[in-house]
Formats: sequence, structure tokens, C-alpha cells
Amino acid sequence: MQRQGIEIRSIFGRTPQLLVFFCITALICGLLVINYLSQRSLQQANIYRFQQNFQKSTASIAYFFSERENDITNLAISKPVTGFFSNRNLGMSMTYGLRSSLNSITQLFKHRTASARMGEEFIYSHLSLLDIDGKILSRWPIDETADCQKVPEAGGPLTVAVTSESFGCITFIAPVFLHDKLQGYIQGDVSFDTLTSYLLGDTPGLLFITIAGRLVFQSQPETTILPAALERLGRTDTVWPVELNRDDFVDPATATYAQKTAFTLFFSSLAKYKINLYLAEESSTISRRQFRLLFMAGLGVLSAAVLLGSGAILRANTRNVILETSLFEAGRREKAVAEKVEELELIIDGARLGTWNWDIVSGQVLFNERWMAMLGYDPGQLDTHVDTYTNLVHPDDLEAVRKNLRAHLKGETAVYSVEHRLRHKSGKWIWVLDAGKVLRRDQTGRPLRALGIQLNLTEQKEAQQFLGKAKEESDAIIRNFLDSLIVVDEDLTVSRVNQATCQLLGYSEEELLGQPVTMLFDDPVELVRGIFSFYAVPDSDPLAGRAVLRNVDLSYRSKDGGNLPMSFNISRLQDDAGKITGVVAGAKDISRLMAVLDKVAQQKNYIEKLFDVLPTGLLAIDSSMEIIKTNKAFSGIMQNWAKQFQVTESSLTGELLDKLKKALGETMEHDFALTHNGLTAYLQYNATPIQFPGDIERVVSLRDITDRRKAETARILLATVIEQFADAVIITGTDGVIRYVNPAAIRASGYSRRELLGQKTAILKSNQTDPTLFKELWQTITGGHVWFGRMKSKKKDDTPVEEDVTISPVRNEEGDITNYVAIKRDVTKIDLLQKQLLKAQKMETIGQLAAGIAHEINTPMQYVQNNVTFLGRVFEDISVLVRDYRQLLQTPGIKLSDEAVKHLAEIDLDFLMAEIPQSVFETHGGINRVVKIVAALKEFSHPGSQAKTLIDVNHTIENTITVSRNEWKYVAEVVTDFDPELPLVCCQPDQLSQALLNLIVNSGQAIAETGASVPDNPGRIGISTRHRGDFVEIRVSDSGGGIPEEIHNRIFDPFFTTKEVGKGTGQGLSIAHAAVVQKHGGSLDFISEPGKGTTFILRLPIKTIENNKGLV
Amino acid sequence: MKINTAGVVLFFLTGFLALSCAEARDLGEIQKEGVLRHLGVPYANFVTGDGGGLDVEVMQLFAREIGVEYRYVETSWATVVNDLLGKQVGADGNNVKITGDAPVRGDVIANGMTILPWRQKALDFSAPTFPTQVWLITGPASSLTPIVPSGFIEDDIVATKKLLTGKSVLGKNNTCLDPSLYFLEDINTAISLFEGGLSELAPAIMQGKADTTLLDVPDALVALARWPGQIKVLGPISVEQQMAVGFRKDSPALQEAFAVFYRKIQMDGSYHALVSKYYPEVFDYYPDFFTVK
Repeated sequence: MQRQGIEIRSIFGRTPQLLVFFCITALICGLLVINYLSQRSLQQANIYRFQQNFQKSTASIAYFFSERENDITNLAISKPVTGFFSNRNLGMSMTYGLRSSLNSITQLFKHRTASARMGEEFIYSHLSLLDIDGKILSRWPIDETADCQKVPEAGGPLTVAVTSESFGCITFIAPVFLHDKLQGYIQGDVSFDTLTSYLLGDTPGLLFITIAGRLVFQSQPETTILPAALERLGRTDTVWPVELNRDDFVDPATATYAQKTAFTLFFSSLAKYKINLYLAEESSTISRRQFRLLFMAGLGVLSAAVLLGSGAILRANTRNVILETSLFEAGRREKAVAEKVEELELIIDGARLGTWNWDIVSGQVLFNERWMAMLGYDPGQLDTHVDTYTNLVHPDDLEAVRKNLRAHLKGETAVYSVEHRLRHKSGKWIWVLDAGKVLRRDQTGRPLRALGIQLNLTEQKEAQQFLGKAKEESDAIIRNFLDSLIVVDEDLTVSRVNQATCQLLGYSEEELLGQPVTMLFDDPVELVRGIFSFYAVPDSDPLAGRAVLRNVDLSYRSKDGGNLPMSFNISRLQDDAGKITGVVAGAKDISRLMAVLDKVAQQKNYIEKLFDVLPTGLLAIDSSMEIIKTNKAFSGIMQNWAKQFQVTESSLTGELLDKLKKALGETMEHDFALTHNGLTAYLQYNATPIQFPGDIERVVSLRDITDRRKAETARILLATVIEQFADAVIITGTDGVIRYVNPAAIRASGYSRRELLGQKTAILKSNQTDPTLFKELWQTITGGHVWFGRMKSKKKDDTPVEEDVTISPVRNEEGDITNYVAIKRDVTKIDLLQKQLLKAQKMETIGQLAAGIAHEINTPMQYVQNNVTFLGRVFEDISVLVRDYRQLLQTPGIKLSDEAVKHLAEIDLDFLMAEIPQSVFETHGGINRVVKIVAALKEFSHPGSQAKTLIDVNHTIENTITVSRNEWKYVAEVVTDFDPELPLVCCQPDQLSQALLNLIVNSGQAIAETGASVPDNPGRIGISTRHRGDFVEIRVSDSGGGIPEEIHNRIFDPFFTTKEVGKGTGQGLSIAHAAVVQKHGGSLDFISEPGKGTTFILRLPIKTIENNKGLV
Repeated sequence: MKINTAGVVLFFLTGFLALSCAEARDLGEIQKEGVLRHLGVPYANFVTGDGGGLDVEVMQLFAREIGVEYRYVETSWATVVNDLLGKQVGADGNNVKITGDAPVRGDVIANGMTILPWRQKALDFSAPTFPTQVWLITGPASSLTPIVPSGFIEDDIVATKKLLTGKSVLGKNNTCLDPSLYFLEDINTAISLFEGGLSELAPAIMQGKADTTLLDVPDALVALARWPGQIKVLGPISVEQQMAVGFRKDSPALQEAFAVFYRKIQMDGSYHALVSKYYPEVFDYYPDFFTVK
């Protein structure tokens, strides 16, 4: 019992402690519950923060993607890319031209790759140009191994596609269109590593990225998520965390997580690109689980470690409170920052500020749209490297910009601020206030990033310049104002005064400034004050509301007391707010004005007199074309033509005014004509708008240019004649330099007009002309006389030309020689023709002489022939007699005297008896030959008759051969082959003989040119005749050198010859052709073989005597 | 004895020019007067006309190298050689003809001048500084189709010349684009000579002033970049040619100084950098030319 009592006492004795214990326990339990709740709240807040951060990162990625979209799209429409496809569509090859276009693209890729950076790392792992089939045309960095890429199935808008996982990159691809036709693609590759390290680098846990439901990236490759889990994730449409167990991973054994590690999955989506991002974070990282352990521990040691537990609880609570407070504070700050950012953006936008954000390490500068617009560019049009910005700065401002910036970057100044100019896209310069500050430096103080704003000051600057200029101008105007000018402020003191006033009054500027304006005037003080404060009168005053007082007469009082009457114009002055600040008064010295008016009146009188004595017709007209005044010259013109036209002066003047009215509507200066009765007057007017008192609107000067027009017409006619003149006309100065050539001279010389003008006439001079001729020429023309003669000149190609030249001096009105005119005619051909004609005439004369000589020879030859015949015959008789005498001498008893024997021995009678018959025979033969030649010559050279007759062609040919023998006998033999049955031909014998002679002579000359000679190497002339149906054919062939083929079509041309000058007339074959073809209706052809000879074939029509009775 | 006409012409020309150029200067006089006069014609990217250009920058560096001021003297293709020599000279086939006197206006020619036989008789050239070739160009609307490269330049030239039958071609006298240099008179082609500058040939062909025109590669590259889709390269008219800096024959010291300088900027890569700046595409066409040996 005692023991129980003790225990009861003990219990009761401990009751207060127990109560305290239970109270503490209850308190602890309460704290634990509070702790649990706060932990739970903290976990929720943590998850929310994670999710918010993840969303922000995703937003950064979305922005990053949109930037890449812009990049790729800009590249797809860039000039080098479209230019390449344009050039390729033209069919150009890589070797010739296209490669340079492609290289431009590669350079563009290189530049873009280098400029697109995040920190130190390039954004693009590759930029590529693909053709429509995905073949890589250009790629930077160059990658020889890659040759083809997958391309979208159809063009369409920009799409984002993903390469195979092995590449580990995300690909942006944009189509390239040209004239709405798909040409290829621009592809940009961005490594996932680049993407995640910069945009999701601070995000803990496992990151998964899927595109169109396909896993394309995970931050820890060894921890691959199960497809089933992925599919489950794919169905998730909430951003709220979902539980992901370790079993969701493919190979939990390789995972570094504990068996029961739970994950919280965060989800975010880029719907535009069908991209989902998943972040699996260990749940323990997000929500501390200690609270459960503390709860269990608290229960376990509740009674034993109350104080300890309480202390622990208190400490935990304290931390929680701090953490919660820090979370709240962080949230508040973020909100404040966001509000500030928004506020700042509004300020920037409202202030129309451009901003720049400079990554100093990479050199990249981000400009806002306002800045781009300020310089006239669209977003993305300018490269974002700082060098681009530097190039836009005005060269004169660049040093100041660099100096200020350098000082700020070194930390020498708190902010960077400078006003400078930038080049607008249009090329003009704009003024900006550029201010910025370094926001971040590394540990060594090196600047890393700077932000700044730019304010467009162009308008202010221009306004300042304008104001400054305006002030300068106003100062200059006041200073240089020729009349008196003073500025009086509202206190009626002089605030400005010009030099003219000082000089007029005899004061210096300093003496006048600040003095009461009344001091300057002789007029009553009140009057002066009233006038210079006219703007301040009551509304009832007539002057109320007026801005200017005009023609106010006041008198200056000069320093020396003199009185100077002046006329003032006074204007009130107002400031920008409209407040009246005083007046400005300009004054003129009236006395001078009066003097000037007198002078003007005199001048007017003088001008009116002058008006009348001017030789040019003048008329002043008003706006309705009514004549106000005319001068005498005008009346003279009208009277003269009215008389010639036989009309009245008033009607002619009316007609003139009508013409003028029409003409003045078009131009102020022109010519026009008046025509009456076949006569035309040409008049030239010049109208001058003028402002005179009265209604005079124009003064028109009128000149009669009829004579000048006629002279001009004559001059044009003369010039036209010279231009169209068939002979060359050359005009030189007195120095012999050519000033003018007409087209004929250009044609004749072979030079162009430009080549001739400015050259001396020596350019046409030939060395073949005797120098004394030129001496004589110059003496003649410099003496003022006309020279005429023939000289040899040369063309541009050195061809010699024979010309008849007339050179005449041209004198001016004073009689001085100013020019020479040469008229030249090319007589080269005429000269040649004259020579040939002369020869032909000579030959004709010789022919006629030959006929006469033949006749003269023929008569004596007849009796010579008869006598020789007689001598031959009688010698036969004498021979018989001599024989008889000799026989008689042999008769014995007959003895000759010694003298007779002696004579007989001397004469060698036997020899004579043998030779004399032979001599007579030969003489007879010779005479017969002479007679034959003379007969043939006579027959050949018989004066031609137009009558036709029947002739024996064979006989005619034989005659011709005989006559022409001398032309061929040294070089050729003539072989004839006549048709004995040849019919007679009706023709003109002399024409046929002439044709045959020409052909035979031509053959002989052709053979002679081959070097043939008789008897060693004789040529051959074959002449044959044949009867060919209705024609007789004569062939004349030679063994000459033949006729070159290039002249076949010219050999029958008159005067065409290949022989040197003087050896041939060039008419032989031409005459033969004319004789046969034109006179007889026959034909003359030839066959020629170079080196073998030529055969002329002459065909004459056979006409019976009956058919040609009338012709015979 | 057979006389070498070209040699005689060259001998007399050299002597004649040496005696006649009173204002001609060699390195010593240039350094004494302190200024190098660079004769240039705005052409392609050699002399851009706005103060820049490959040859302008090279000459500026050269002037700095020899310690004198640089002065640009603008001239024309028709007078550039005259301005250097002090004589009015022109091409006469592959020979050079002298027609009169002219003032000496410069010390050196550097504006993408092609080495041609007649020019070699009038001038001394430096080591080749730039490769080139003459291409046949037409407008986009032309019915002429570019040749398909055969891999052999001679065959490509023949194929290109065939395109010219019955067509007109625009060239420029006294330049590497003179049609007579490529015997275009021998084929049935209407030749017309352009009065404007070389850089205006491509616009002229775009305006349809002739069926075709000749352009050298540097100018063609510039035109292709400037007017994509507006000109069409049909094929080559010449084999590869070379451009160089032109000097008077009586300025050996200046030539030697430039030779040393040119070698130096080749070796240190600065010439390569300048070419890259003005003709980035040229390395694809002539990869071997710019390799420093």
C-alpha cells in the first residue's frame, strides 16, 4: 500500500511535469503539423518555380527559333542565293560563271555563321544550300562528306525538320523561290548541345525533347526513357508535373538513381514546331522529405528530447520562415523587375529611343526595331556585329565615339554618352544621342556586356542649325541694311541699331544702344513714344490691332543737332509665345528719295527717247494684248510691210497682235511670218514680262529678219548644193588646215570626215607631182588669184589619183583672205580613156592611109608585074636566039672579034642563061605576093559600109591572115582547116574582117606572152570553119597561157585590158564581140584552159541572098 | 641576213622613249620629290573609283614601302599608256605604233592591266599579279546557250566562237577586250567597238546594244555579283591571261623596288588578304595562281 501510495504520490507528484510534458508534446505536435503544412506549401511553391523557369526557358527557345526562322528566310531571299538560281536558270556552267555565284553564297554562309553566336559558340553547325532534290550545292563549314540532305516533300512555307538522331542537331529549312517556282532550299543546322547548353543550361534533371512525338534529344544519353512512358507523356496536355517512376526508364540498371527514386516531370510545348520538352527532376530535389523523418523522429524521441526536439523544430521553422520570406521576396523582386522592364519598354517606346545590347566579347550587338527603323532598315537587314555599327558612324565623329567609349569601357567615366552622326540607309546622315553603360564586367574588370540607348537628334540639330543660320542671317540683314534700321524694346529704349543709322546720326553703336528712342528724334517726345508703342493703344484707338505702321514721317536729330526728315515703317516684334517685345523700325531718307524721284523722272524721259531711237521695234502690251506704247522702229516695220502687202497699217498691226497672242502662249521668243499677195515678212519677237506702274505686262521687241531669213535660206541652199556636189570640195584656212570637206571629197579620198578635218592638205599630196607645181599654186592663191591645174594626189590607201583642181581664195568683208576653196575632179579614168581613144583614132587613120597607099602601090605594081612578065617571056625568046647564035659560032669559019670574045668571057653567058629565068621567076613570085598583100590590104581597109553582102568566109579569113601576118609570124604558125563546102554568109565584110583580125592578133599576143618564137619554139594559131546548121562556125584557137578565170566575165568589156598601159587599147575583143553579136546576131564565146590556150568560137547566121535582098 | 623587225622596233622604241620622256622618273627622282603617281582607270574592283580597290591599296602600300606619298591620277584606257610613256601610242596588231607626244602624268600603271604582246613592247611588266581570261557574255533574253565545258580550254574556246556566227560582238579598242586579239574578224561576226568604259560593257549588253560582249573574268565576277540573272556567261574566248603592274622601260630601279615589295606582301599574306577582300571568288577559279611558291 505504501508502495502504491508512493507510486500514486509519485504520479501525482509528477502531474505538473506531466502536464507540462503533455503541453509541450501537444505544442510539439502542433508545430509538427504546422511544419508539415509549411513543407507542403514550400514544395508546391518550388514546383511552381521550376515550372515557371522551365516555361521561361521554353519561351527563350521559341524566341531563338523565331530568330533562326528569320535568319534562314532572309538567306533564302538574299541576293546571292536568288542570283545563283537566276544565273543557273540561264544555263551557265560552273566552270564559266556559276561557280562565282555559288562562292558568293558560301561567303555569305561563312559570314552569317561567324556572326550568329551565342557567347563564344557558333549557333549554326552548318549552313547549306540544297537543290530541289536535296543535293548540297554549297555548305559552310565545308564538309566534303555530306552530299545530300532530306528535303521537304513539297515546298511551302518554312518548316522545321529534324535530321537523324546521329547528327544530334535540329534543322531549319526554308524553300528558295524564284518567280514563284521552287528552286532549292536553305538549311541551317543547330546542334542540340548548343541549344540546350545556352538556353537550358541552368536546368537540372533529365531533359527530353520530342518533335512530332519522336524523341530527338535527351540530356543524359545513358538514361533512355521507355517508349511507353514517352507515349504517356505525349498524351499529357498539362503543364503540371506528373509522376515518372524509375521503371519508366529502359535500363534501370544503368541509371544512377536509387531504386525508389521518384521523378517529377515538367512539360512544355512549342506547338508551332510540334516540339515538346520534358524535364524529369528527382522529386527529392524539389520537395525535401526531411519533414517526414522529423515527424517520425519527433514522435520517437518526443518525451526524451523535448527540448532538443523543440529546438530542432524552432530551428526548422526559422529556416522555413526565412526560405518562405526569401521566396516571397524573390517573387516580389521578379514582379518589380518585370514591372520595371515593362515600364522601361514603355519609356523607350514612348521616347522613340533606339536601344542596343552589346556582347562585348563576341562583338554582337542587338538593336531594337526602333533603332533599325531610325536608320531606315527593316529588322534583320543589318548585320549585328559591332563593326557594322562602326561603319555607319560618320568618319568625322568616329574618333570622338571611340574616345568616349574607350574611356567608359576602362571605367574612367560613369556612363558613355556622345552625340554623333550615323549613316541612314538612304545615305543621308542622322544625328543621335548615344548613351550607354557597361552592365557586366568579369573579375578583372574587363567589360562583358553593355546596354545603351540612342535618341534621334536630327530634327533638333537641323532646327538648331536653322536657328543659328537664321540668327546669323538676321544679324547680317540688320547690319548690312542700307537704310536706317533700329530695334526698340518695350521699354522704348534702343536695343539694336545698324551701321547706316550710326553713320546717319553720327553716333557710335555703343552710344545709341540702351538710350531712350526719343533721344534720336526732333519730334515731340510724346509723339515719338506713341508711335513706337503703337501696339499698346486701347482697343478703341484706330491703331489697335495693327502689326505695322507704314510711311510715318519723323525727323532724326543727328549728334551735331541736324534735322533729318525720314519716312518710317514700323513693325511690332513678338516672341514665340506671342508676347510683344518691341518694334523694328526701318527708315528712308526722304530728301534722298525726292532727289531719286527727280532722277527717275529724268531717266524716264531719257528711256522714252531711247525707246524711240532704238532700231528694234518695241511695243508694250497689257494683259489683254492691247498696245500701250510702240516706238518708231515698230511703226516703221509696220508701215513698210503694210505698203508692200498693200494693206492698211492698222489691219497689219491687228494681224500681228493675233499672231503674237498665239505665239506668246507657247514661248517668249520665236519667229513668225506674215504673208500677203505672195510676199512673206519674217519677224522675230522677244517678249519680256515686266512690272511697270500701269497695266503694262510685257514689252515685246520685234525685228524684221526677212533679209536675214532669205540670206539663211540661200546659205542653206548653197550648203546643200556643196554637200551634194559631185566634185570634191575642200575648204582650208590660210594655214592649209582642212576646215570643211563635202561628202564627195570623203568618197574620193577614202578618209573619214573626222580624219580629214584638222589635217593639212598635205595628207592628200602625192610625191608624183612636181614640187614646183605646188610652189606655183601657193604663189597664185596667196596672191589672191584662182589657180587651176591638174595634179596627182593620193587616197588613204595610197592609190594615186589624177585630179583637175581649182583653188580659189575666199576673202572676208575687209578683203583679207581667210580661206581657200578647192574643187577637185578625179580625171584618172578620163585621162586613160582619152589615151585609148587617141590610139584608136591613130589606128583608124593608119588604116585609112593604108587603103590609100595600097591603092597607090597597086597601080605601079600592075605595070611592074606586066613588065616582069614581059621580060620573062621575051627572055625565053632571047634564050632561043642566044642558043642559035652559039650554034652559029660553032660553025667553022665564023670567028668572033677579040673584043667580042673578051666580052663574052666577061659576061659568063652560061651563068646568065641559067640564072636570069630564075630571077625573073622569083621576081614575078615576089611581085605576085606584093600584089596579093596590097589587094588584101585594100580589100581589108576598104571603108566600111553598112550594107551586108554575101561573102566567102574562107577567103575573108585568108585575107585577114595575110594582113595580120606581121602580128604572129615571129611567134606562131597559122594552121587553117577550112570547110570547102562552106556556104556564103550574108554580112558586113569589114565588120567580120575586123572581128577576125582582132581575134588573130589577140591570139598572137597571147602566144607571145608565153615566150614562144619561130622557128625554135613556135606557137600555134588554128583557124577552122564549119557549117553548123543555120550557122557558120569559125574557131580561132591559140596555144597561149589561157585567160584567168577571175576575168572571164570582163574580157568583152570596153577598155578592159590586162596589158600594161600603152600596149593595148582594151577594145579588141569588145569590138569583135560587138561586130558579131550586135551587128550580125551571131555569138562569140570562148573556151580557155590556163596554161594550154584559148579557143574563140564565132558563130554567124547563114542568110540566103533571097532573104537579104533588101540588105545587099 | 634576215632582220628581226620586232626587235628593231623594240630597240628604237626603247631608245626613243628613253630620250623623249623628260618628265619620266625612276625611283631616285620619285623619292626625291616624295610622291608616287599611280595611274589608274576605274575598273572592276581593281580601281573602284571611290578611293578603294585592290590595285589602289597595293600601290598605297608600295608608296609607304618606298617612303613617299601616294597620289592617284585618274586616266582612261585610251590614254593610260600615253600618260606613263609621254607618247601617244597604240596597238598595231602585236606591234606598237607611236603617233605623237603626250604629257607624262604618272609613274606606274596598276588597274588590272592585262599583259598583251603590244603592251610588252611599250612597257615593262611586273611579275603577274592577277589571273584573268576573256569570256563571252550576253543578256538574259538572248537565244544563245552557254557552252557545256569539255574540260579542255581550247575546245571550249572553239565552241564559244561558234556561237558568234552571225551575231554582233562588242569589244573595246586598245584593251584586252579588243576583238582583233582573238581573231574574231575571221568568223562571220559583226564587230563593234565600245566608246564607254570597260565597266559599262555589261550594262550595255543588258540594254541590248549588241548580241554579245567580251568581258574579262574580274569584271565578269563583279558584274555577276552586281546584276545576278541579268548577264549570261556563254564561254571562254581566250586562254588564261595575266595582269600585272606596268612600268616605263627606263625605270629599272622602281621595277626592282616593286618586285621586292610584291614578293614581300605575297610571303606575309597581306596580298592574299587584299585579293580576298576584293575578289573572294577568284580563288575558286584560279586556285594555283595565288599559292606562294
